[in-house]
Amino acid sequence: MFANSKSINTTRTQEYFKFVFRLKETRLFLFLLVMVAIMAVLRPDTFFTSQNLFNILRQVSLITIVAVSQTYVIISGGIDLSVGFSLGLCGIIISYLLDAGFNPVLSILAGITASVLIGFVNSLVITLVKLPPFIVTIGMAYIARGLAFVITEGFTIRVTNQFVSGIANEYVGPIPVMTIIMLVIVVIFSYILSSTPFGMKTKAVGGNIVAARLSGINTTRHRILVHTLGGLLCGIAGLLMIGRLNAGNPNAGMNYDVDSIAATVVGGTSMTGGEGSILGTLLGAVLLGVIRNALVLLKVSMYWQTVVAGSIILLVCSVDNLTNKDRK
Amino acid sequence: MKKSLVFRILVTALAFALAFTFVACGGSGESADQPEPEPQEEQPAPKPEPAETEDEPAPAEKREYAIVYPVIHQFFDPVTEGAEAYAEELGNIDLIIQAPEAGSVQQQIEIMENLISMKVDGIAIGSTDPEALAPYIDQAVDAGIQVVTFDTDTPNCKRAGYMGTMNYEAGVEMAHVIAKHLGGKGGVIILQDVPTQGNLVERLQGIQDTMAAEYPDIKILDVQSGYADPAKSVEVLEAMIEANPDFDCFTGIGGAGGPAGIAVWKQRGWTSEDKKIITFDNTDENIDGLRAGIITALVSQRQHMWGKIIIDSLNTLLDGGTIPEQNDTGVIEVTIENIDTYQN
Repeated sequence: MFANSKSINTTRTQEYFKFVFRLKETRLFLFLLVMVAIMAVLRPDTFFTSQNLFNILRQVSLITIVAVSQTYVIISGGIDLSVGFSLGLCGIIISYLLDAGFNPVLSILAGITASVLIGFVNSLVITLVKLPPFIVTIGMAYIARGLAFVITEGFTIRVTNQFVSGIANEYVGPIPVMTIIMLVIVVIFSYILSSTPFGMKTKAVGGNIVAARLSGINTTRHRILVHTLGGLLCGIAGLLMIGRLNAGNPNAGMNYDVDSIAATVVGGTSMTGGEGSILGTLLGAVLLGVIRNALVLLKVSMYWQTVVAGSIILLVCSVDNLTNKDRK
Repeated sequence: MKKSLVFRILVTALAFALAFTFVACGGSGESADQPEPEPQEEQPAPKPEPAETEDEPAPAEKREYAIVYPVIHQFFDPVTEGAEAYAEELGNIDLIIQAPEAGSVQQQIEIMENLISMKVDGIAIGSTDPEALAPYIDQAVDAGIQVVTFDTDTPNCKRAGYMGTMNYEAGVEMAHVIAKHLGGKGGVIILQDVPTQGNLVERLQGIQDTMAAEYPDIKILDVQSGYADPAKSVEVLEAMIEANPDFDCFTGIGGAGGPAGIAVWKQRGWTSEDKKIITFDNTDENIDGLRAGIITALVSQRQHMWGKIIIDSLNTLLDGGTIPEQNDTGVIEVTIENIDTYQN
């Protein structure tokens, strides 16, 4: 009888590990460990310093916040190519108003409101005019970038506000404030996605919009909410961006569209919508950050860095897909 | 069981593949798993030319310097070639060459942070945005790293000195060259690259001020930006030509201007006899355009000298010496007459 009980426990443990291993996030975490192990062997002195590890965390904070926004949009069945210049325009508006002597709180609110509006207008055109999200958001990206240049006339605006600079560059103990903000956002949005009716509706809308509508979900209102919420996250990222650059730069946010999609997809979110997780997106962003950091520490030629980074992303996604028991 | 085995094999393969990729791609002529530098005290290193201090002993210890460009562009190839050749000649310098892919400010900041954590001995940087990079240059200096700037200066920081072209003066020189070839009269259209890039802003200002002050019969008809994107630069230039058909001269302020001009001139069957291209920089494409009779003149920087000057300056600083705060390497007009001799 005792032997029988032990056998049952062993089976349960095996089942548990099988379940954990089947999680996309677990596999991604293992990939990350492989990367870290390689760096530990190749660059033990420079990679495993607290300075470098916190560098990586700070460097991935902004893209993670933007990628959280992208994850929600992609899970809901869309895509947002305006995230980079939405955060760029937010930063420009804040820095312009601060430079003109406006109240800092109002300046920050104005900038973030601009990003929220961008998300809102995107969703209105997508849901009411019924244009594909790809076209709408790419058009909006042009508008946002153009407006940033109209406001600045191409020049950088210096940001001297202590609060704005502090939230991007100060530390709480050894941890950058920006990283703490990113982790808070990840926890909140992960909870919303996995444990609230809003999250479940998001997955339902992205998985099968017709079925979602028939089951009583107001899909139009929900997609508007998702894009608007995404705009809010881009606004927060824009505020952090000008703190990190100590300046409003009209080119800031360049490549964030592609990078946020890469982090989201590497993190396991399906490009066809309906499934994905914020934890996966965080791991995807950290993996991309570790790769970028590693390429510099390993002195990989600058001409090869993008090739190597792209190859690693493809390799990780391919290996994961081949070993995923749930793949169709 | 079978799938589990497959997974383990694939993960192991991934680990080896990644390790191999990193090792195989160890850049700048160095292998990534290169052993720690061997002590070279016994090996006499050739003496570098001092920048200001004299009779300094040649630096014998291994030193690691990083050169960070504002963007990956062939304009900087002569800098890399010059620096690598000089580092090899000295024997004790390891070089790390880095640049953000598309002139991204954020990426250049990340490169700076990574170099600081690597504790390199010296950094030479051409900032994509001087305002944004200044605090990170200060961080490097505070961490004990010697920092110099080149190509684009970052004046409001703790960098030891700047070397390269004084861009406002280069703009002034460009205005004189344009005026000479136009005979003091005509219309000019100008294409910028990235309008926030400090060195380009200064060049443009130099041209505009000089034209206004010294050549009232030369009008700047239009100034537009191609954002350093080759295809976009061609499109913007074509639109400028349509909007200003009576222009006499096209001038590119940044690296994308010359190639865009050559592409448009070829497409329209123009040569320098029809409309003039007078542009910055001696890139391979511009030199070819000059030889083909499409470009009238180039105002070339002397970037082939920068690599050696950077290493000399960092060596001098590490040896306790000082360097000039501004080291103007100047510009030179290149035409078909001096195309083969101007670097002498």
